[in-house]
Amino acid sequence: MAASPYDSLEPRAFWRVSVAGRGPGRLRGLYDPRFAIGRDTRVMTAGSCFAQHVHRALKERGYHVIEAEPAPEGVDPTVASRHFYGNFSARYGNIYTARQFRQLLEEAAGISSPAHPVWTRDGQFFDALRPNTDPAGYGSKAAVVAARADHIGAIRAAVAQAEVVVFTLGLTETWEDRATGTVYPSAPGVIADPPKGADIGFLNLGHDDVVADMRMALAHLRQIVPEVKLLLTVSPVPLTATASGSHVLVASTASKAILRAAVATLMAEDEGIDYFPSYEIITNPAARSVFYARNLRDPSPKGVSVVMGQFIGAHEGTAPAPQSTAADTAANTPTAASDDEDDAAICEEMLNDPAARRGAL
Amino acid sequence: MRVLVLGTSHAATLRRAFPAIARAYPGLSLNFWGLPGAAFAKASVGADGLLRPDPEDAVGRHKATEWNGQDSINLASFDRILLVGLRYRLGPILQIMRNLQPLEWGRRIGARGVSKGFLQAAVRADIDASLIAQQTRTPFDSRFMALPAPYPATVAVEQGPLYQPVTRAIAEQPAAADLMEMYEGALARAHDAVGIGFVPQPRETIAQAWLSLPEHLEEPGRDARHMNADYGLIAFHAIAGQCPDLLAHRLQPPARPAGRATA
Repeated sequence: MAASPYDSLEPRAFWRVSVAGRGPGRLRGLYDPRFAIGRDTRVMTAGSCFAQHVHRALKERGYHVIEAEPAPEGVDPTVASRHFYGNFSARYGNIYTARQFRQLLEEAAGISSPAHPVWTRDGQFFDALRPNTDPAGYGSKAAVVAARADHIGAIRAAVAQAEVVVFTLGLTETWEDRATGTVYPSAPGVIADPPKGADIGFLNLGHDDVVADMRMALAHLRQIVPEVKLLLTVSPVPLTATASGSHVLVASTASKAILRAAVATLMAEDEGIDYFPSYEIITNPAARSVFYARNLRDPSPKGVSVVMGQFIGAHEGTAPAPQSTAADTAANTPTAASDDEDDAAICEEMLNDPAARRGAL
Repeated sequence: MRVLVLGTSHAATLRRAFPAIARAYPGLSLNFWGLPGAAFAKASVGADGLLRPDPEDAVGRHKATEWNGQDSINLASFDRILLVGLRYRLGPILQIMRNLQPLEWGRRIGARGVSKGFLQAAVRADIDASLIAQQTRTPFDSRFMALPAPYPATVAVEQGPLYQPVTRAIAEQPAAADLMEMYEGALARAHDAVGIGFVPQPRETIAQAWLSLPEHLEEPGRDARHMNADYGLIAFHAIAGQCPDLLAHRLQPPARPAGRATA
């Protein structure tokens, strides 16, 4: 019998030895970087709440993470982070969808302006495009507009410095102004309410939408920095809630599959795009959910550590972080409650669950 | 009724007023235990229930004896404890206020625009940290009532040896009164959160936002921050106004004293 094409493949091609036979933190060879990221590479971060972990981890490890809107000097770090200072390269809050990222870059480029940019709640005014960055809102509409002008300037500054943009794709579900196509990260009534007369409806982006939006986003980035590289990740954080009508698990799986497939399409067509498999590291069956917190949604600090260990190891040619051994022994052990809370990212998407808004969770 | 005035060098302002307070509130047993601010910030209640300076703080131990005649005090032996003279990280808070500007109030040259909510949260966090640290050193209960250190007198914003540039930068802002209201509001909420009373600096001693009237200075020309016995009596009246157990001892109806308060 002739040799099978599988006979000469390297071990990582085989599930039995490279996944099932390894502990959750011991997967190897998942990531072969297309381009180098060193500690002096200027990295811009953006994306869903998982990207906050990436930003923080890179910063803590001495990477040159761009912060165009850093925490004000002397302010309590917890307060600053809760207001999204220093969580990303600018204070855009969580950018859950490719559409929102494209829209933001187009606003920064002066190509378009979002519709209904100011929403309200209890007499306070909120930036509809980042409603959770100032959880108490602003005292006036003019203040929101002024703050957004500062923010847009900061985005321009961040983009202009960027050599690599790390973007985490989080969701496909979003909320859209029917008249203009402006998308918002939060549904009406979750954090604030749109002006009367605004027709905001549910939108679930498909594979082609995500691909098109990311192509345009990268084109806008390259208008400013032609050599900029794009490193994509897919957030392993499942949906808190779905407005699609499906079961949340089915909707979440579809959403992640669409995002993951879109990344594959984008990588196949553009050498300037790479993918780091943080999604796979957290969600793989060998991990047995040990990299999730008790809510089976948030990545645990251990999970983030393993992810970033793989990332650093790939770029620095070093062995992944030693936490992997501890993670292996912790398989099938419920994550400690204290771990759940440590270094938690701020995700307003969790407010889509009414129980979370009531403070019942 | 045994009353302890406890705190920093600003608490000594009330001690200077003890003769006048004793006349106005007969029946109160007035006691004092204080340390310079830096030493007080390290003094704590030990396992024996006594408040004393940090054993490694030689200056604090010396001052404890010099100021109080005893190096420690048993807080359990008092019916009411007036915690006087804390600054609640006011210095760093003023720096933050100088550097940041709520956009609700318009832009200010040299200041970074933020939401008013963010500035409030930043101020509150510093105050909370300060108060919780004090609570760790001197566990609070319902006997405690707090009065902050007074604002510096107006001389602090004039060129000269007592000039305080950060205080001037805040006091001269158009929103100075709003900022002081924010600060005092955060103080009130922070004390409420730890379950003790709080009395802001009496309004009649304030010249303008963030600045005290100069006539209350203990040593005008030498010190812009420490107040005299007149101030101490006014402050005590303000405290008593919120403490029925103290007010019950007052001889006269509340009114500002006409003359000097010292004996």
